Amino acid sequence: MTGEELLVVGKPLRRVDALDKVTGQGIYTGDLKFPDMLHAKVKRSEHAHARILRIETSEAESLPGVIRIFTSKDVPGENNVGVIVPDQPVFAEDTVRHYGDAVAMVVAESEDLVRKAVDLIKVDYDVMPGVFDPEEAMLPNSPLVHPDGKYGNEGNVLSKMGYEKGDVEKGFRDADIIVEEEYRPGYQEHAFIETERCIATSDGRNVTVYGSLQCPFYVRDAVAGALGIPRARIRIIQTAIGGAFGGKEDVPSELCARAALAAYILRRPVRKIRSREDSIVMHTKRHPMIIRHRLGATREGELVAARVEIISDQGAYCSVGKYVQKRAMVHACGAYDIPNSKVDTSFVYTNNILTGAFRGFGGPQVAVASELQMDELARRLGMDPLKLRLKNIVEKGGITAKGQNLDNCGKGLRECIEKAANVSQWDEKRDAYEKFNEKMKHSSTGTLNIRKGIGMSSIMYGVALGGPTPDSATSTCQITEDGSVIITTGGTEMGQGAKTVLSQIAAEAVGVPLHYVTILDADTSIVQNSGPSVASRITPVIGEATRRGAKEAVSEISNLACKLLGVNRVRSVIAPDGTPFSVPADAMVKKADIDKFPDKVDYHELVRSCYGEAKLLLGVGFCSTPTLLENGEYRDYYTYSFACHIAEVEVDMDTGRVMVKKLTCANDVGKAINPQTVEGQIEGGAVQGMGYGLMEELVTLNGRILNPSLVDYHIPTSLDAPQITPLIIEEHDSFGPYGAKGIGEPSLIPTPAAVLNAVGHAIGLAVRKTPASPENVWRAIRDHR
Amino acid sequence: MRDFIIHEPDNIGGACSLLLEFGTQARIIAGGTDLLVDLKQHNIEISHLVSLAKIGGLKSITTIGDEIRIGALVSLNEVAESLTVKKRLRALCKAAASMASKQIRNQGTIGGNIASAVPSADLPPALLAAGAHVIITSGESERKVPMSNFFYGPRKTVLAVGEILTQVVIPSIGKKTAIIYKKFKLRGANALAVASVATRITVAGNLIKEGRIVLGAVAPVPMIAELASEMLAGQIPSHNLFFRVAEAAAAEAKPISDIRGSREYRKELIQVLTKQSLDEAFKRATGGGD
Repeated sequence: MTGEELLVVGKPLRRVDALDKVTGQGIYTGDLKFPDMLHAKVKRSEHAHARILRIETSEAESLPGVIRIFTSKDVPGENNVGVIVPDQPVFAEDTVRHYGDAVAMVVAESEDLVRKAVDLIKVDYDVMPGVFDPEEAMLPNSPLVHPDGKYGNEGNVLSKMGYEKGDVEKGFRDADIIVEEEYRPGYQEHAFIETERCIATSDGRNVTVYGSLQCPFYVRDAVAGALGIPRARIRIIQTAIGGAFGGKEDVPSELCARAALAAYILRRPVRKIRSREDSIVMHTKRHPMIIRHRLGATREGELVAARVEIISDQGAYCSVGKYVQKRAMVHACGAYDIPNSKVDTSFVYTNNILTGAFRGFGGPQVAVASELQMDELARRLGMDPLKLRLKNIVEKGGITAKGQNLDNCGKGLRECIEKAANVSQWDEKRDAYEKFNEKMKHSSTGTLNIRKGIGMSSIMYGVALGGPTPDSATSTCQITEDGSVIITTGGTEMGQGAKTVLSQIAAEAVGVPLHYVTILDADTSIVQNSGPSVASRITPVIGEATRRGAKEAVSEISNLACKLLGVNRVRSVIAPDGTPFSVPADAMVKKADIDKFPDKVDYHELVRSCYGEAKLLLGVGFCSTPTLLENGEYRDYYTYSFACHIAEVEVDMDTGRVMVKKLTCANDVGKAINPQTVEGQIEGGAVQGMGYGLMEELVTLNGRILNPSLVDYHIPTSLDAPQITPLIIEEHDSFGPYGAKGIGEPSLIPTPAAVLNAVGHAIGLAVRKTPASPENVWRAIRDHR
Repeated sequence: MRDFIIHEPDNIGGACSLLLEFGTQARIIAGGTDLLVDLKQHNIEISHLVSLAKIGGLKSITTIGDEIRIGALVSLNEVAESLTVKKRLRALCKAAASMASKQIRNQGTIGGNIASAVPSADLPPALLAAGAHVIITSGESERKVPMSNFFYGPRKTVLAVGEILTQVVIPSIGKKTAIIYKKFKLRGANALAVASVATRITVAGNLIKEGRIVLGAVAPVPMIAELASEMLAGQIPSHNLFFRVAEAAAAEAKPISDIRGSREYRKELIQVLTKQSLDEAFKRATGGGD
């Protein structure tokens, strides 16, 4: 393959935005200042469920410097920002349904003033009974969150989704052993460094919003709806983002709709920056779930049936809940070949904080259940959990538990498991730790009462947006007169490395060094709607559109090179000094020898000639995933990426404290466009997943969040992060650019379950809820005694 | 945050008069790591801050014989890293090092940590175990208050309006004596104590001459577990004894349930930490080092 060597892709190049970020040059929303800028803050609900009787604003309005107070009456368009279901108001009308509802918004000359004025707004409520437990919410006489059922909800049940494959009853009859347990993965808060923020400006006709936005086009939809004006008059500009993790997917819609409303009416710039408390109280969280999981197997450990029931707390509004539900349903039985399976899911409205998008999108929760079930089954069968998994994983040519024929992927999982096991020395450690624990049980020295454990979790992850509709994206590429390249896409850089990866893809396709490429920030009036920056889809889907656009843009250049060199096909070689050349595709020339090689044309000359001959050097790349099949059926997801994480822990039996000592993380990414950013994603995902499994606990009482601060909501610090060994596995995918699949979410999904399984191995019993905080582990140990 | 005037007097007398002049409208600011949060979150509304930054003599660690005197403005990191303190009261260094994050430890002060009187504060238990006292000045006169009499409730101390805590005095610890501080927190850094124990043991021959167990974060103020402490005096050390003392300490603790831990879990933690600290303190007091 010397003739097809990759120039830029596959190399651990420095991130294109690294210098800006480490030197503080990156422009975040908080850095932007406009003349005459006003500030805004909402008055939050003071109850989980109540009727609003009166909103008294006169005292607040009388404060000098307070410009105006907005309520639902001021919304000229539709009072809704719900992205799937129109259930979420810009401002609460007659009812508040959770503590995060906005009742009113103060706009004033300074941030101090808005805070003071918010405190002066008095709201009279008629407090109604609330419902805070999804199972109670499903009972017939429970208080109703959306009583009229106009969002397709039946009672409080927003949505039911399920499937059955094979004959589950028969499957369980044939099983020699059945494992049935209940799991309760909890909430998770995104805890991005930068809270939600935006600035809206308007001349009374057009509206521009700058903000920390994961999905600018969602924001455009929400602003258009709330103001009742055409999308063409709205411009949403993404600034640098200080972390998102799904928490800035649809969340900015409400924030931006409110700021845009004020700017549109007042014709002055309006800035809205959420305090940390507002942020935690108001934005979506990871869905907590109650998962009842029944798994049947033969004596030899072959899975024959699975029955999974999931009830999830949707909170007050749907957000992207139905999409999370679908992903949870498809992945509920894990990465295994199970002939008979039945899954039912109910997502239920409550008066709690709403739940929505969070890196993994239902995946980590269902993996906690399915992966702890595998370890429970292994324990009862007296089998090694690794061997049990290898016996049952779904592989290429097999059928997933949900029923998808894996005709285009599936080799990566075995490789992930075997590599992770090998590198972590699974067999030796499993054995050594068991011996250590046995010895500790009989030791009566005064030293720490420690147990050690090693546990694993292996998962599959449906890449990009699921079927039936294919996932699609658009991207453009322009090659300028000096050969530099401008790429536009609607994909957003939120710290994950999108700009770097898309630059590498574009540079590779054009045949130029990385620094030739500039990716424009998303601006909805300039870039195309490439779909949301979610679902680990930027690299594979937006990346493929980018590759196609770049190929089209460079096609006239390639044609000219072919003509000049008298060949049918050319390839690029970048000289040691960085100059790109075109050479015949089959030329056996190495980069170092390009100077002496005669059959070459300088890329810059080619560009100049193309401009001289009035050729178009613009490409529009479009792609859609191979989701639809020829027989009219569809794939749940067009492809899957796979992962196996192995965790090693020490548990203090006296206090319940778990220390994660090591994480070995094998992730199949198809092709690592930039191995360094892939490793960064794996490390970051694993630590965030570890946090979910071990320490992150949102404490709520009757809908109120009791720890809305980063002092009391504990995310891991660098002192809590273990030694992490990322292992990149590459099962080439036939659709994605250069074979790439996604990595953003599968980096996190297996970790919580791996950590919990390691805890189970250490203490000899399962902790079936998250987080496995010291007190929860201590209780599990004590209750078992 | 409400607007305030910041005063920077260059002598203690000046600071005390400002505090008297503005009364409840004024607060002392040292490192500000607690105060600024309270101001920003509107937990405190005041108009005047009296800074101690320009007053000389509050930033040093000195010794007189075996007694250590630590100025109120000595930062938590300076306490953590001081060789003088390490040599005589290592437990205090460990307690300081366990707090918050490096940035906050550079900013926060020993005086502030004591005078803020937060129940979960890390330095008071070790200081109580060491029998430390504080020097309080009103500008005109000074008084000496044992740490054990300083606190009387969460955020409540004996400091009167116009008074400033200027120094912490740690007496000579004595031979055959060890003090150990143990803290349980929910993550590696930036975490408050869920429960903490400072234990002091003095040995004489084969016996424990005397002991003192101080509990943190499990009562409105750092508390000496009197009954548990008394159980040590004159006893032959054994695992069994330490276990019973730990049980007694847990029984004396008066924790509340909150988001960091339930009452029963905190009691359990006190028992575990007391036992661990007794084991370690005994080992060190008998020359076993740590």
